[in-house]
Amino acid sequence: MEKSSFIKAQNKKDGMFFALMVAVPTIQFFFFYVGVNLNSILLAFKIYNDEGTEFRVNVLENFRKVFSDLVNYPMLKNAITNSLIVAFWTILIGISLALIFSLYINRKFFGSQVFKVILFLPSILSAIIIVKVFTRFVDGAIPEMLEILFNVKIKGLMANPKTVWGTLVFFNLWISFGTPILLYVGAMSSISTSVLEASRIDGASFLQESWFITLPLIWPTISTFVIVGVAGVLTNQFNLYSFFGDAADYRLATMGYWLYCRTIEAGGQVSKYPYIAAVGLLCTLVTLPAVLLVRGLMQKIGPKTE
Amino acid sequence: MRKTNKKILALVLSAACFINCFGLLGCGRRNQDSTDYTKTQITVGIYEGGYGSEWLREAAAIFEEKYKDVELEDGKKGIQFDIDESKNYGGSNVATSLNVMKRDMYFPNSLSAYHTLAKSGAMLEITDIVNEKLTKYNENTSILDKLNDSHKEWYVIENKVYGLPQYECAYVMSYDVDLFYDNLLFYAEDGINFIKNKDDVKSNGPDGIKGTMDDGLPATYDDFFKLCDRMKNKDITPILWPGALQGYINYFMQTLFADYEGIDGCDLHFSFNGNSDSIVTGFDSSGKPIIAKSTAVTPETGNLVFKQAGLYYALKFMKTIVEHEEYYNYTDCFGADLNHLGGQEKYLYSSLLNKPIGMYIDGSYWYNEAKGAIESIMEDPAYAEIQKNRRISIMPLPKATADKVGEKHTLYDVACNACFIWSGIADFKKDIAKEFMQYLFSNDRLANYTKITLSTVPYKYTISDELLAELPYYGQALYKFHQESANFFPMKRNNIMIATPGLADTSCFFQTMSENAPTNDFKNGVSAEEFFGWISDFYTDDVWKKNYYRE
Repeated sequence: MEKSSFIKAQNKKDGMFFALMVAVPTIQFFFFYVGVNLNSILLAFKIYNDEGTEFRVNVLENFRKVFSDLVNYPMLKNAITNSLIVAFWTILIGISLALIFSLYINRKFFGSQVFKVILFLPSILSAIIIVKVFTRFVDGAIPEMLEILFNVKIKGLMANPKTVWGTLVFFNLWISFGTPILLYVGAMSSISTSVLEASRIDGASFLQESWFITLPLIWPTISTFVIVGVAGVLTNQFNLYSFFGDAADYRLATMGYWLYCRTIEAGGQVSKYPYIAAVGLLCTLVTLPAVLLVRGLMQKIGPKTE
Repeated sequence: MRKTNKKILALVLSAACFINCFGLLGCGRRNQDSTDYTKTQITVGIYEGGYGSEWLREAAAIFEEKYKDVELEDGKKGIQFDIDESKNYGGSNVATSLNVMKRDMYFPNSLSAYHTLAKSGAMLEITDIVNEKLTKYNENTSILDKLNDSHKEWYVIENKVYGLPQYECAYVMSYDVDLFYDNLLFYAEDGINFIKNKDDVKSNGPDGIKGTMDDGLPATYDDFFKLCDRMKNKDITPILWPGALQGYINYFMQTLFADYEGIDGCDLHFSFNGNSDSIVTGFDSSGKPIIAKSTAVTPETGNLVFKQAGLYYALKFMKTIVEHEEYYNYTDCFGADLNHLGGQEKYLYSSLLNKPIGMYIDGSYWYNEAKGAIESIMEDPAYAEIQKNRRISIMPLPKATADKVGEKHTLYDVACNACFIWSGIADFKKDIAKEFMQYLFSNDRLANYTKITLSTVPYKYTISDELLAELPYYGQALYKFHQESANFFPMKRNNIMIATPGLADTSCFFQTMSENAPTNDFKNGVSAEEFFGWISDFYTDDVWKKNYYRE
């Protein structure tokens, strides 16, 4: 009896200790994450007066404006189209390339360490530094090198409207490799060596081993990146703000960039926020079922480990 | 042992979350080592960047000395300004976080929410000090008397004032005077040919008056492009602007617009009430705009202002530059690499490195912002002497058409800013804060502001010849330009502008369905006429009445 009451008292003490320790971060989480996001959702249903000092609740007005702008504004339609194109590149092509690089690095083929460093470098340096260096290279160094070496004069790749899109795609792909490769290689290294050795003994080639053993075993990691990629389709800025500020050509703009620029443009004028909040909420309503669908699909179609 | 490990883990995880809270401590006072607690503290928040804080600190030091014996609190003698310089004091931050920041005085970089803040009671009313004649500073005028007429409408709310503009800014074209002389790029007296010798008499320039700062400069757009062609023939790149900041060109086009329309036309553009002599109704077979005389504009038909000829000519000017790729370096002007500092440096070094660039487009504050580049040049013995005597000046803009030559230059002031006193300031500090605010707008302080920041202010003020001689050539030119030009401020206090102050921004000014900056469309082959038409297509009667019109 004495022992059980002692254990109870000890558990109670432990519980109180735990509660006190997590109380502050929990409160912080509720204020700065839940509260802020809840306020953003509620904003979508408000209309402010011009001075931003009073509001009234109007469930549909902001959404009506958004749908009207979707019909009338080529900019918005263009932004959505660009977001989908960017998603194709970053999810389909980006993840595929990241897997290929990871398989290469995992098997320690020639130059794999160099690849590792080059591909992971953008993840450890500041994004703005990478953008500036990259811009200097493609707008300054490449034209100059071509002129000196081959006497060919070209416009900078970011300056030239014909090459800017391809250059942005290349940049965004390159900087997206770091974390996925780290996690894929980590997942691949956790595959039992006996399984791999057995497959090699059975005569499996590198491709067969990758397709039938490695990829199925790291499928959960791949799924995670696909799902996260889908979740970010309509918020991906494509690094446009880092390159161009708020003056990017609208032909390049994505939904994420458009939203960001509108928020900056509001300049603290509260009356402008409800419209932007409505756009954001609509993006969430579109993205959420897409994410759930993709998650279901990935689980269903994914290769089984057995 | 397991329980101990759990506790340690819980501690570590909680500490990791808790560390975020320290971000909140980032707000508040800085430089606590230099705080003198025997003095009453007046806290000031000023935006870090742009015009800097040197002018404010100098004024604060003089004011502290003047009031070193004042006793505002028990046990304290004198005052000390606690000046916090941070990017947190940007306009939109200040507008939304005033009650969190809790500084006594604010000097944000911009404040389009001036009316909102004033009406919410967040700003202390300063009408008394603004109306008081500044006899204590040997002046016979008040701050309000000195304030540009164009600004009064915005800053005076129902006969009360809550904040004051501390600087003005227009986007201008600067040029290298020495380069122009060395290469004979000034127009001769006949206004058609160029000078053959440096001492030749120059043309009257766009304002048509001899002896002003625009003598010898191109009088019309056609003259300007003729000048560009001449520069090109002499292996001088005519123009540079920072490609990473295409928005600067939009601001510059607003200056072109203002210079065409003049104060009256600009007033109409933002009051939406009056008669316009410059509404474009179409284009003739030669592509020239057909301009209707005396078109009535009312708030209900306010969208007509987006057909003002000044808007068309501004677009036309930039389109002509963009389509002549020989006038600029494409990568510099349309790439993402060259930002404002890079552009300033490139321009300043260009003639020193024998790759001369004739003209540069940037904000009127740019020379102060280029301090770093100028210091680098001065540190180089090969260039120091040249830089010391260097003459970079403002180029008063050419007129769109010959019939406009002779009209006064008009600047478009894009700086919607206001410094103010927080209404939550302690009662015992109110009077001294107001006193300081008043001091900042005495003629001496305004003159010193120009001396330190190389920027002008939207007030009628004078700089003595002695002080003017201390300024670099650019500063002298800027002041002279300020004196010779009209300054237009777009923020008006009608219901339409209060509802949508963004109408003064370039985003609304050049608003089309695509929301694209004009130069982005120009480089893709869109003509000025097309773009001008798109602006009208955006501001249809229905759209105007639904989204912008207010009674």
